[in-house]
Amino acid sequence: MSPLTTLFPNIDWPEIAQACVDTLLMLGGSLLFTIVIGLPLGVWLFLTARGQPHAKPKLYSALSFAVNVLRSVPFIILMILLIPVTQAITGVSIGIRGAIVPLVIGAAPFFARLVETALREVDRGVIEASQAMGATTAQIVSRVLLPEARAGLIASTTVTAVALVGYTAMGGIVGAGGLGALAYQYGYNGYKPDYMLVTVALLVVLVQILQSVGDHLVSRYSRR
Amino acid sequence: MIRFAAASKSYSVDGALVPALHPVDLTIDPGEVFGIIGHSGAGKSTMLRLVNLLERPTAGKVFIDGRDVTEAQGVELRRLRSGIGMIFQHFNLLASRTVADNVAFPLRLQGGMDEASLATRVNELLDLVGLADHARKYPAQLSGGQKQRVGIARALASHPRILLCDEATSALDPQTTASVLELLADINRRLGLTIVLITHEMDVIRRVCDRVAVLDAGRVVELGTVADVFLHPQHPTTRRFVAEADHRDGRGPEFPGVAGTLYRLSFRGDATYSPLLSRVVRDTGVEYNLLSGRVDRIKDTPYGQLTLAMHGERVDDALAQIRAAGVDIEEVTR
Repeated sequence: MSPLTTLFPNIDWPEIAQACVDTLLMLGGSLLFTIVIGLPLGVWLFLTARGQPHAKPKLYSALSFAVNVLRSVPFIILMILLIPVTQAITGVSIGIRGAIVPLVIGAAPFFARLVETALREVDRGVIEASQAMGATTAQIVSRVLLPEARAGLIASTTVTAVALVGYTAMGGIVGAGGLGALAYQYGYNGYKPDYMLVTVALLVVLVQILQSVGDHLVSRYSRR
Repeated sequence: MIRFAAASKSYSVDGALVPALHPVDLTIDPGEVFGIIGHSGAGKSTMLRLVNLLERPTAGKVFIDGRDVTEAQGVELRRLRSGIGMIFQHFNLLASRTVADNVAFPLRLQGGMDEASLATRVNELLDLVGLADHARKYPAQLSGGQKQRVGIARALASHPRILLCDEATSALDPQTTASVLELLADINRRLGLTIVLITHEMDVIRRVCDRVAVLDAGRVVELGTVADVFLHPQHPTTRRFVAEADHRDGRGPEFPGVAGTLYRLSFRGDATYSPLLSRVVRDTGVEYNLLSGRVDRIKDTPYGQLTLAMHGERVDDALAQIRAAGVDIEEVTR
């Protein structure tokens, strides 16, 4: 008997490996779409806020309210409420694809807020200087706001990715699998503490990796 | 070149319109260095921003080269702005880009320049401001004076005809201020650029400006050549600015302990360096005590201003001789 089997008698290692893959797929897929949706939403929030180049207070309030509503609904409820939407978008309501839709809808507003906050850190004077040079709004966004806020945006992405790791654990409810689902099914419901230990340890490692990669990139791109 | 025609600006604060700048009428001539001085909140920043329409006038118009630009939008507005350089108190450089990329930034915004000619232009500009060795550095690695030089290079990149300076030296120490002002004066001479600068320091005005407008609570209260305004300030605000530059407080009576009539003599140009006073004293036998004085330059013109008390029988005679030599005399009211 190998030492692994002695220490963790209940564990089906190929299943753990599959769960890792599932978690990474869910994380990667949902993070990708969260950025694709949340980044423009965050820029939009920033630009329409009071005192900004394209201040539209009413639009900003409406956007802001929608974002707050989505952020207030507990993720587990959001997941269940969204089942019909998920079905409409992906054709399935379960599995990894079924989980990505609610993950994105849960995380994108969160990420958008972080983007808005990161953009507010950009010196107003720099934006004014770009306007004085004749920059269009598109140029201000792509060449001033996003590059100047790069470190903050990377930090926001890291925070969002870590939050998504937590959300994916709930993906098990729609049968998406992943490490969180294993921890819950076998570790908690099935009284198998070794499952709990291994899956949680793997999640800790994943979060550590995400955070240290994020921190490294932030310090690399900080020019202050 | 730049003309304000009853241009004014009000901001709405909690539903009420608060005037920041009362209607201004004035013309800034091509090639001059025009200073706007005022305390913070006097409206000078607003007035400067009306030129490149970072602020739109609430009423009135702004003309540049005879053209009404007040309503410029879109492409027209961007073309107008790219012909007007601007530098700032806090430099406003892009922290994520190198010095060279900051200078190239306005050129890249406009597009239509290949990388080779872009690099040539950037080197030319960095040479002009004396930063050729710092092209690959990031702004955070530079001193305040160097950052402002990058700002100036960037502002000049697209060959503007107007340069706006927004408190450009207020964040710099006196020595760096002097070198940045010297650079601005040099640029004005060499490139024939029209410079509009705002400041709260009379010394900045004295060193580089040809004409000055004094702003107080959103109104132009005094306007004229720097020498006239500096040597014969009329409005209380102007007097205070001039007094500050002389390290006086500008309030209350001057020299309360001194008896007799006080005179302020203002010399300009060559008269500054002639031994006029000693000659007049010898001729007329009057006595004087010197109470305060300063001999300096206004831009390139030497000037002197002496405050003195004069006693003796032939005081009027002495004053007439001094006046005849082209020196202005004011009786100091106390």
